[in-house]
Amino acid sequence: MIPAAFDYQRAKSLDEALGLIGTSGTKVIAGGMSLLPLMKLRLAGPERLVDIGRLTELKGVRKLDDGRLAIGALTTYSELGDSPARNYGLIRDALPEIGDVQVRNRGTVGGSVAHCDPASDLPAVLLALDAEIVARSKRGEKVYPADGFFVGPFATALAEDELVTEIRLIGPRDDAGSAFVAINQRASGYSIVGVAAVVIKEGGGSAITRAMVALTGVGEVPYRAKAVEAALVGNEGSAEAIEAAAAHATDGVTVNADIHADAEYRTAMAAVCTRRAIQAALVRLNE
Amino acid sequence: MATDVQDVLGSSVKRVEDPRFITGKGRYLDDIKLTGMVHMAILRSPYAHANIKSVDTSAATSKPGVLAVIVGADIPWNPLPMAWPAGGSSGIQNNVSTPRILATDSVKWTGEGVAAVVAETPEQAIDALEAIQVDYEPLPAVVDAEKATQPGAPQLHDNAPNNIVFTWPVGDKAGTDKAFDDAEVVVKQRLVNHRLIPNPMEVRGDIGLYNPGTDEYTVWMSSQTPHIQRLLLAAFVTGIPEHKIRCISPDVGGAFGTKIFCYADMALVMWASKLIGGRPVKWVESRRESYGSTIHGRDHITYVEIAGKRDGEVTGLRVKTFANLGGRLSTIGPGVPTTLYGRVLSGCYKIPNVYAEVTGVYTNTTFVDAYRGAGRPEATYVVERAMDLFANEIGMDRAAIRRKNFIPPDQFPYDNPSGLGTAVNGEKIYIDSGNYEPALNKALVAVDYQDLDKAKAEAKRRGKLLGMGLSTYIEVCGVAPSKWIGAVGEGWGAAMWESSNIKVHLTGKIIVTMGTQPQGQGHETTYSQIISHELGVPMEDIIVQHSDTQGTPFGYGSYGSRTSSVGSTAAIKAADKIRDKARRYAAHMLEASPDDIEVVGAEYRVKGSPEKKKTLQEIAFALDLGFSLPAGMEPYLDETAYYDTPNCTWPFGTHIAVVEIDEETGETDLIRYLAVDDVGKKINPMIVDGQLHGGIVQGVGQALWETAVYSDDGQLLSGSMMDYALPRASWIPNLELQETVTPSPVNPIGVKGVGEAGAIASTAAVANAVNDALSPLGIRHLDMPFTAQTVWRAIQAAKGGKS
Repeated sequence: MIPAAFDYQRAKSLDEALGLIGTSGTKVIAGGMSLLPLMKLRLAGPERLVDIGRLTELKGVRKLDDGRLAIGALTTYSELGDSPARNYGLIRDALPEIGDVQVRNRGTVGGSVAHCDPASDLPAVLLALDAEIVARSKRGEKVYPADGFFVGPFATALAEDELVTEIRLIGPRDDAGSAFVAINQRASGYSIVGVAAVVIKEGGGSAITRAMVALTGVGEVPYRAKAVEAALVGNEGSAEAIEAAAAHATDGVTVNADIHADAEYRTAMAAVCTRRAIQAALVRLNE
Repeated sequence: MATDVQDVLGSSVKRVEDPRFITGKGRYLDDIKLTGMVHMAILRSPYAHANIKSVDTSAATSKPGVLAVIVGADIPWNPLPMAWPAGGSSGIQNNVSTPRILATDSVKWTGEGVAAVVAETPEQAIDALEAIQVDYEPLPAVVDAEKATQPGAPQLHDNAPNNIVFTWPVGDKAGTDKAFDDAEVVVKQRLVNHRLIPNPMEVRGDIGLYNPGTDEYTVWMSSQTPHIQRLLLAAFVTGIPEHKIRCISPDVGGAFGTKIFCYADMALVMWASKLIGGRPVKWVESRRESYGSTIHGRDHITYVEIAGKRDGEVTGLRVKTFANLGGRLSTIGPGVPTTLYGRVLSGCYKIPNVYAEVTGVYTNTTFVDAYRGAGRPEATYVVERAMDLFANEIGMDRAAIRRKNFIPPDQFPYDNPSGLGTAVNGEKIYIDSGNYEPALNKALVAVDYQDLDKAKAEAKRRGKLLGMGLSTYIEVCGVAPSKWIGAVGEGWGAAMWESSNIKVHLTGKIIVTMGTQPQGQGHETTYSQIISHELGVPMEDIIVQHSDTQGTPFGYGSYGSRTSSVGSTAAIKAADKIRDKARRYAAHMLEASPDDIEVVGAEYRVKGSPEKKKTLQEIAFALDLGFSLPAGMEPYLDETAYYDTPNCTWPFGTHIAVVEIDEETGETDLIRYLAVDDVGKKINPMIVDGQLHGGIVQGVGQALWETAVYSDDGQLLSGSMMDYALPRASWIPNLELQETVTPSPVNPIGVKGVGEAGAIASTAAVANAVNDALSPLGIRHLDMPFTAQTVWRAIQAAKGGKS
């Protein structure tokens, strides 16, 4: 459990960090909760680490003028849970499922987003919240919608010279309810199936006007289940309607299989957890 | 007791070890840093089965910091010993292949050591491993013990046709066959007791130090058995005379059996230190490495048949077991599924006819040996599942069938028919005591057994399947009387006594040295409690030492829940000798007859004249000075005792698990766990509870989460804690512990041992609970571990009309 030799540089400013990254063989390290275990197992062997862990300008959660929440990339899971972000039901649900106390105290939101583990919970949460991921490079700032950002296992839309600096969420709203429901792989704690759901009933009506449902652990990358969302819009959330919508949870997805869960189980559980997440979100909406 | 010393025997005093353990001041193997110390790393086979065509170390030799690169052919030492053949001295054929220090011609599992690098730093050693070129010729592999015995299976060893290590029968075959022929009801089931990876908190490691000046070796090892390792390394592996080897176990951070055994790395650090001229060489396995370099546990496939009458009387038990022993044999691998399993299959039941046949099998997997409970959890699982299956078949209550078949309390000593009591030259082991029904009844009351159906109905309304499982177990501790071992040849092939030395120093402070070897159990506390009680000295005036072949009396070490019964009795016997000599010397000091000296705590008083007295400290002071000694008395208060137990001890109890299953997802939660254990008298109830907690959770872990998974070609897929699911505290309900107390008759304090009881009982309790929960769906038996997918699939199959 000793990593191969590597160079290490600690960035003292964001500009310095942006100057240090962008070459192949360089990896950014923040909390190190995902990267270091891979290095110790020698599954990853970067030539150089650029440590951005002390860039205080990337820490913290603030409210934007338009009411949205901006989460600094170096905000830890624990800090996220202590921030106004905890007003989102699905964030309250998902955070305790992530790692353990130590991981939550060191692991960062930006790190999770950039690492893009196919079974990581946070990307699904951000997908369901229709988040924006802000990246910086020497070339300037670029804003990525979460939907489309996660392109494959451990692969994102980020360019090699880009660093995630901030994640922006739509503000909590009274006409929305959200929930996160997962079945965990007992050893790693990662989701065999994790479902983040947001349902919105705009205009005071009884029908769902908008829904965002995202799954993790199921496919090669966390994804929005658009067929589920489409099936939910316009209905009032009857048990039958939700069940019918949830049945589309894996439409068009090549479902994962491993020693803990085969594709048949994951497919079945994707529907069950999707149904349960939508139901829980609706309960919260109606509270 | 002296009036100012509180009797601590039987009380939950805090552990004297804990201040150092919980403040990071323990001294474990990896904490030891010796002057000039260098580091070793071992290259391990990536193949489960391959011939080694060549090993090219040239590139590694020139890597930075590298002092030596070692291959198996360099080392003329013997393969590791196998000390416990199946069947002992009965003449059963054992086809033995044990690991070499490093593999030479072939590898039999992923993780078998092939080469080693010694370098200035651990990083340099590990980096240099990558430069070693091994040319392997991959061979077909087999990982399943039953399949390995089938025609056409890949063959591991020339001396083991069909990969069979041994076939060992026990019990009366003809009588058992007749019982089955005559039976009203016979129930059969195939049971898989899957493979576990033990995972003590501290992994293993060794430091070897060769002294060219004296030609002596010192080996620090994270071991449960430093004395035995010295013997094995000297007499069987290296040929170095025993007195030229010193073995030291520092603080050991858990073991669960894994650190009983002789491992190749112990000899390898000795070899390496001599090779480089006597600098100390440290090797510490990584967790991932440990999964292939340290033994695994369990891994049985069993066909059980149980026969009996419609009224619930069980008349026969017939068992055929394939025991997976891995690619080569570990030190006592064959002993676990034979003596420690086959001989106790009938458990706490009076089953008149028992016959078992155990086949030990080589497969391309990590070697298997004793893991907490060692054979007895497997036996308990078989008989407890069988009792439930039989009860369900005849429609009898599961508690009632147990009651009906318990060995009645008036039938002890009880000689069980699966051969535990086999008399050879008059030596027998027999179940000396027990009273099983009170423990069962107490547990049933505590868990509201009569309301089980109501609880199930309530859970069903929440979409949950509730189940309750019983496990009425016995444990065999203190293995074993040396005379029995000598008679049947089972066991280490050597004695199993224990030892204790007590020195009362001139200032009255006491140092106790023991031949046993703690791994976190709190020996220093419990022995201090015993000596405090015996000699009337406060615990803080006593220190307990162990773990070093230089300076402690020879002992067979700590495993098999033997320390509290065998080790403690040795300590009591040493204290008896101290007290006896102190009494005789007090008589000399007080000018009285020894017969007129009464001992009250630490005070030695003249009967009838209590003002005429000497304290143990005064006696030790004068005796150590030696200015005035009676004729024939030696100076100094220093006594050693050796104790060989006349019998094993027999804890028992009833464990009850309650589980809830999410019918939609298959997720299974343990929602209640209650245990009534009879471990005899307790030295420290808090430590007993801790042992039970740990053991129960380990057994629950097997039932619900833990499993070693190999691919068909022998790759360990659950190769790290990311895939091997150890229990977490938050998954376990409050463990409700109760007791009955039936003192063991074999030792003076009436203790039995408790290290393994929890693990022996709990797996079967949870398995019975899960199967109970699933029974309304028509599911008769489901194999462990009850992962969400496994349970879900069973539910789907049952609902789909498949079985």
